[in-house]
Amino acid sequence: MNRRNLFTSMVRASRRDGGALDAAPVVQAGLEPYTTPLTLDDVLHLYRRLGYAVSMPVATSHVGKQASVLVEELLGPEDPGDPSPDMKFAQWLDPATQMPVDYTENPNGADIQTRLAIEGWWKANHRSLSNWWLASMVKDQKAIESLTMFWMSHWATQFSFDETYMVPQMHYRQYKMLRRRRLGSFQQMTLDVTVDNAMVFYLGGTYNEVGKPNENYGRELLELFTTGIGWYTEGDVQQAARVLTGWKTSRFNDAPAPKGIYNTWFDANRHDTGAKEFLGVTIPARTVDNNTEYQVLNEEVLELIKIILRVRPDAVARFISRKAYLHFIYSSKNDVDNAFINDLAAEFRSSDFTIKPLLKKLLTSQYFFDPAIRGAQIKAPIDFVVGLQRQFGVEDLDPQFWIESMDQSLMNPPNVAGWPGYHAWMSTNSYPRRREFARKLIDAMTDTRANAFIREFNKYDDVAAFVLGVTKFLLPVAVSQARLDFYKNALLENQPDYTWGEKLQVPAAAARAMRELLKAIAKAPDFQLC
Amino acid sequence: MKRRTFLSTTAAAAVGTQVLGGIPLKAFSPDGLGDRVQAEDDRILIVIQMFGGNDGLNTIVPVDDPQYYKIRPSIAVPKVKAVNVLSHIYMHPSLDSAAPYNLKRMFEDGRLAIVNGIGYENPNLSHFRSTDIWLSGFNSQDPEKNLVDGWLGRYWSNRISGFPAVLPPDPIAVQIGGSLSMLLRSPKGDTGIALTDPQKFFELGAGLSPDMDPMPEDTRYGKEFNYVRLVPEQ
Repeated sequence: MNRRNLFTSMVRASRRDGGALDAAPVVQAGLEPYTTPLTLDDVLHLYRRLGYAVSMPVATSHVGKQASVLVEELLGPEDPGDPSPDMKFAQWLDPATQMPVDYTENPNGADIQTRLAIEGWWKANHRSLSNWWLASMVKDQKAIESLTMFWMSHWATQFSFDETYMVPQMHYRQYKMLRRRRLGSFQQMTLDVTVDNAMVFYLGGTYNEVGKPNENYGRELLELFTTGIGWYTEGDVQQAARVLTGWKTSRFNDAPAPKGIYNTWFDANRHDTGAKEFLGVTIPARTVDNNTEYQVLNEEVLELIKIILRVRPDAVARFISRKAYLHFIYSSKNDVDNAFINDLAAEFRSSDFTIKPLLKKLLTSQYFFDPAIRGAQIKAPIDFVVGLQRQFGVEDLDPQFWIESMDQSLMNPPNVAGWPGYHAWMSTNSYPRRREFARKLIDAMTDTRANAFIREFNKYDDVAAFVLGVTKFLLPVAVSQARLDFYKNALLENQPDYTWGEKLQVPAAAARAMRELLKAIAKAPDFQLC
Repeated sequence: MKRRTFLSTTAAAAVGTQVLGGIPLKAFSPDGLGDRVQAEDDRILIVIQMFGGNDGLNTIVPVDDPQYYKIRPSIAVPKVKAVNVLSHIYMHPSLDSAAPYNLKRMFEDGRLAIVNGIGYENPNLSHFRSTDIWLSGFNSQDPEKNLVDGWLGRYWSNRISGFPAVLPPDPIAVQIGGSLSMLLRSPKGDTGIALTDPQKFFELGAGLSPDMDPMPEDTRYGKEFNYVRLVPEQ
């Protein structure tokens, strides 16, 4: 039998073994809670979708828990405190001297050396911030970082755009803000983002002044961040822009920074004090006396957001629910389950747009654990690069390099709509880099680490049970017996079963065999799925 | 790179990745089209998609239309400043730059064709929807309709017999940099490959095939398994 026929038979035969889960065509369930005690497959599925996969020992420790308990644990406390370790000033290093330095000089108009030094500093610090965050994702015991990432992708801002750069400190502040807001009130999150320095700079809010409107953020606030397209008129966009006039960014030491550098401030003279008519609701004109930051923030900006949620509650609830569906369930935009989205949206509305109940309902639903959605997601580069480090227990020192080569640069999506995701993740450009990264990480497993990894599996000395365990750990859906045999042969280098016991006696031999097994599994298409 | 810089650089020089460094360039090679294209024929079609809006009226200027000067009192290009080409066309003066070879001269030599006045009713003002409409070729204002494939992708997928079960020996289209554009996607699968560095691509390409046949497509898992499986086969 040639290799191709062998594989045909192994894919079709699919006599599943060991209780691993099959994929199914149709989702049989809805939003009702999943109350079956979690199996190992369930735990692995939850971590793959919510928190960048997990090591075998941690997964094993959660078996038998209720979904509601584990999800609560992973969502974490509403305010997680500052990230640890915090990205302190001393870490913002000059790439040339490796000494802490703080460039707040405006490079525009500076001499070329100064300009290049400042831009070089930004690039180096964007990279170190990205690597710092990616390392935090690898270490995260909960799903705090992955949820922050979910929101950073929603409220997308770019490091490099329009021939300029986001100062990395501004991204760091945005990151910390969304991290703190990731589970709470969507209304508060929207308000915080709207007047946050990164967004005010990125979408031109800082140029939005009375008489000189910039409608960029006003439009995206509706189209990309809250209601989605189709729920407002061009007039509403223009009125939103007028409400948002007067907020200024602070990036350099040659401009006013009443709230300190990298914070926004309100320039009352640039605010449009006239009455606005937004989504059919009037925001009254104001006098010079009450044209203050506090009043405009509360009576106009917050009011604008409240109007969106009050007048278009179904649109917002569905839009955010759909986003969560695409992220956690299945990314194919043409296969979104609208009945499920509607149920989820009703939950979001009934909690007054609080994020945690929405996520908890989704992640503890029978729908989420249904066999029909297992293995349906293509891993994003971050899922892949962070996940493999967590699964193999090996650290990579420049993960930003790898995710970039796979078309995802942290805090630098292609545009304000974020990454298109789904099939865009998998191309002839990125696929070879995924293979290369997996190979590199597997080779980076020391003999000690490889032997420890082997012993993380139950009944590791039984070669069939061991191979089955590893495939369940690394692949989202059960594989056929023929594929299991193929992987066993990769592990044993085509030697008989009893040689596994001999290899286990020799750490170098066991480690080498282990790496061969992992490399064989890493070549499979479903190694890219979760 | 700014559109402006791109236009002035590339009209004068051969387009190479070094010129374009960093910006996604997409190149398409119509190979494997059976009797429509001879194997020895190395003609290629290069599609350059520049994101953003081109001010068509100020590029090819309708100098004889009084309406043009009426709606653009301040930014219209006066007839005396516009560059007259082949008697009936007027171009923006910067298209006749000091460069040794420019768009005006290309046009005079018959090496440039311009299709202007292209658009659709009630242009969509969303950046993203507009891009999708242009790439897909569908003017759908219905926000519920997801535009997911492109006019070129559909064209190739229908032209190549047996696609995607039978793939031509060479890639149909090559996109340089980035992830594959919607332009090259089709309902039957992608009709192109994306690569950044051809050398690296071919080095890594060796041994990529996972030697697995397609799964039944009745599950989401099976569908995505097959999608990923097809990538190295491309």
